[in-house]
Amino acid sequence: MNPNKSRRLAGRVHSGEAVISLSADRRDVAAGARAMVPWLAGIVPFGLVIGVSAARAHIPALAGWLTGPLIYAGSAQAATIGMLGAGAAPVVVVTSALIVNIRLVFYSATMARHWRGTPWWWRLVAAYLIVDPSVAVGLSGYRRLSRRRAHAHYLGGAVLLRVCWLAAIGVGATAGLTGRPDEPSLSSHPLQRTVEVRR
Amino acid sequence: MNTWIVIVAAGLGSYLFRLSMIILTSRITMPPSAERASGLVAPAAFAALAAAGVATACTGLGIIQAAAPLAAVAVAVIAVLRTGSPQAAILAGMPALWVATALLPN
Repeated sequence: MNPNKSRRLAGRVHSGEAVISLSADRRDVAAGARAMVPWLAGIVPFGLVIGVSAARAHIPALAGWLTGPLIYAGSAQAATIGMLGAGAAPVVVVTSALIVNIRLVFYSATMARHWRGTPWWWRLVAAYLIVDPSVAVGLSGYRRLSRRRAHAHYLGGAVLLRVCWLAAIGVGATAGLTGRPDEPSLSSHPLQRTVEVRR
Repeated sequence: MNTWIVIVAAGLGSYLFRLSMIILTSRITMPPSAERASGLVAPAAFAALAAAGVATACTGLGIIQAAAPLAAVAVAVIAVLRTGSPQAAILAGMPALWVATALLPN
């Protein structure tokens, strides 16, 4: 690809440097993805549990899966699915999910200083990917690497996390719909014990 | 219909939370003290989440049953202190939890 075109597509920070170039920064993208791999050991099982519970709750399975791309935070998704399945009032469900996710404001504050001066599209995309593991992996990059390399590092880890999370929820939902395995329920997950659901 | 509206609303609100400080700090200048404090937010939040998770995991358990998650936490902390890598917490802590849970009586 023409490097000038690549830079135009990548956008520029105020200094004129491209915020990221997937071709030039692919090593850092890969490094970010590798840094995310250990996190998946805990995240993928949780995603499977959420998927199964979404399938078993009294809501459309697709709606349960959609909590993944839309809400994108395990504990808030679990609370939302559980409360919707139990017939809680919509306002209560939305309020509860937002209270559980209030920490995202703090993560936003943490990452904001690293994204100051970046193009608006980068901030929209990068913000969409904010969640506990992506912030952890991202911050480790911003501490060690130059800003541009750290952007790539963050993107690599965050995208891998997103893909695996949505896949885990999808697999869990499919398993929940098609079979009756020994059912891992949300109540067996430590995080769910913070949310009481009555069925 | 309510289900879809609720999920979209919760998703939109969550995204606005994610975007909030990014937009705000692009429009206002944060004082240096706030800048320094913002770097401590993530470690504080992670510690709070971990503490809440461990407390929840140990709630209602006897001393022996609670030993498994507590042992896993201890292994994870030692691994991070020795390696300086946050990933070490998961790589060491998760197997420690599985082994301790398998070995300890229910």
